[in-house]
Amino acid sequence: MSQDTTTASKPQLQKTNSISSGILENGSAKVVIEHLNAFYGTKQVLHDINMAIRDKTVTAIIGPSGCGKSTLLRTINRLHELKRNARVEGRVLLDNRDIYAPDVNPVVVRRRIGMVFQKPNPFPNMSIYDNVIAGLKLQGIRDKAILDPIVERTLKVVGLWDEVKDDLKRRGTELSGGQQQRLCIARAIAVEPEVVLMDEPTASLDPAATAIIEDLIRDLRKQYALIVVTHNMQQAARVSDHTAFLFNGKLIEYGPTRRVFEKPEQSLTEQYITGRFG
Amino acid sequence: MIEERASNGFGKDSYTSSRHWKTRLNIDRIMFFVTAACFLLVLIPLFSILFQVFYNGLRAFKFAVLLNEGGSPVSTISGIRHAITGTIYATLIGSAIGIPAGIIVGTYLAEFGNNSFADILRIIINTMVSIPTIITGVVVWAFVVTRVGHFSVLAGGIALGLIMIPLVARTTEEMIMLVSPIYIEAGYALGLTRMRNTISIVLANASKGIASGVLLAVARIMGETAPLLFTAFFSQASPSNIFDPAATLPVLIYNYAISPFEYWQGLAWIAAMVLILLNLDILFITRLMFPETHQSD
Ligand SMILES: Nc1ncnc2c1ncn2[C@@H]1O[C@H](COP(=O)(O)OP(=O)(O)O)[C@@H](O)[C@H]1O
Ligand SMILES: [Mg+2]
Repeated sequence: MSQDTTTASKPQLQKTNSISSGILENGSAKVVIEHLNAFYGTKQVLHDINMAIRDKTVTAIIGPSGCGKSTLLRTINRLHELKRNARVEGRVLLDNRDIYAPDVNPVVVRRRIGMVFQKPNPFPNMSIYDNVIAGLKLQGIRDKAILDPIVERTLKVVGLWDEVKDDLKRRGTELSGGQQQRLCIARAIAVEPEVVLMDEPTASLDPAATAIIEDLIRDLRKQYALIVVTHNMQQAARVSDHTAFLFNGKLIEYGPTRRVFEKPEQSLTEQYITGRFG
Repeated sequence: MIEERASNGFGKDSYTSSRHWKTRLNIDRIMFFVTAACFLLVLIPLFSILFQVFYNGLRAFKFAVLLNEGGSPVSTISGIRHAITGTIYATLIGSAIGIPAGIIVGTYLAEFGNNSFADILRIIINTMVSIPTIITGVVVWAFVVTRVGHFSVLAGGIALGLIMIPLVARTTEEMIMLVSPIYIEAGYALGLTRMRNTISIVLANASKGIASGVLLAVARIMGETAPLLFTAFFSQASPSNIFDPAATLPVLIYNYAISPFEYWQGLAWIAAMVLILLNLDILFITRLMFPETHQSD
């Protein structure tokens, strides 16, 4: 099965490379999206998306609101299918293995791919501590000797440890918006995912909190493949290695961020990044 | 922000000219009095009921009444202890059936309810709510009492449980619907299974609302009379086990109030007082424990 997948994906990768120019030059793909179509009922919102995403890079997905950025992100951890009447065609390979293969359990996929949402959503019934380890605890790990160090380490990664170490018992929802979002990032990385998806993670935050999260994104890139949706082009330019421009459910352009912003190949991309629409 | 305020009535625009202002103030005053009058109108029957019950109940009250079992109307030392015990038995049995079944059904409908089986279940639940409770009593009589061969507090509890299921199911479903999908999605994104997510995220976040709805349902079944008439029936002694027939406060009130004996009529008033106090207690506990939850009944 997995052999089939690898061999079958070879020719596709070539094709992917043609649109993903300059992405896989030195390194292999962590996530490969192939001929992906996504639907809500009969309405198709993603059309034949092909993308290869490298490990330990930040990939930004930009595009006007409603173009399908969130949907694309949610097909990568199989969250899309939880919506009523939502459907996917095509393949998403994680380490060369199709996550939509019939024998793959979506729960396992989601443990390997963390997600951070637009609105900070720490669980309101849980303390800061419990929020960080929510994924682990709800998977059955309850030993404090294991959990305590994980809480400290992940809160340090997101720069929240010094701010909250004395009141880990407080509710996560009592923190400020920016702190809540960092708590959500801590919760996502505490389960040690390989890929982290972020859907407009700073859209509801003030500039100072946004700057902290952007620094954090650049930090996390050393360990994870990050895919960040943003409709803020400056943010894409600041944090990402590669940028994908999505328009009306189609991938218009995808390449190294500098090239996409300085020398876009498509006139639509140029029009969008120069602010002529969007 | 400042601009918004201005147009909201703090700045100088035609909206706040003094003539408009006066009319609005007058309307405001009139509405206040109308509201207050309605409020009093509602309070009058409530207080007259409470007054009647407590006036008559306290007049007949002796502490021994709470401690003594039932007896003949000529024995002036008989009490209502058997009915208090019976009500507690029946309510506990009803809750043991109604709460878990109601929560499971409500959760299923809210979280897994996108199929035709759930649609049918929803119709059943909505129908059950509107079935007169005496019919539930008759059904339990036909299915339980006639088979066991005699009345029992168990049969009474089953009838109360059946009445409770749709009440609890509905609150559970409503309260789960109030849990924001952003938390449910966060749970799935962490790799929780559907079952885990439903229990640890969905139900945990709806638990206060569900608990307060459940307490209200307990208060409701505690006061039910009709379903107990042919199930728990009546007795002059506390049930020694769940297979005994048993008196309950509402049925005792019914039997004693229509009896020709003054002493029993007094006991009926006392029983009414105790029942109201038990009910108020539950409502009070609900308010105290869950001050912030909105209550749907
Ligand atoms: N649950 C849904 N049902 C139907 N259509 C949806 C749903 N969610 C999103 N859409 C539609 O799919 C398209 C893409 O949405 P989305 O991926 O959220 O865009 P973006 O994140 O780029 O703003 C939009 O046209 C939106 O209206
Ligand atoms: Mg979006």
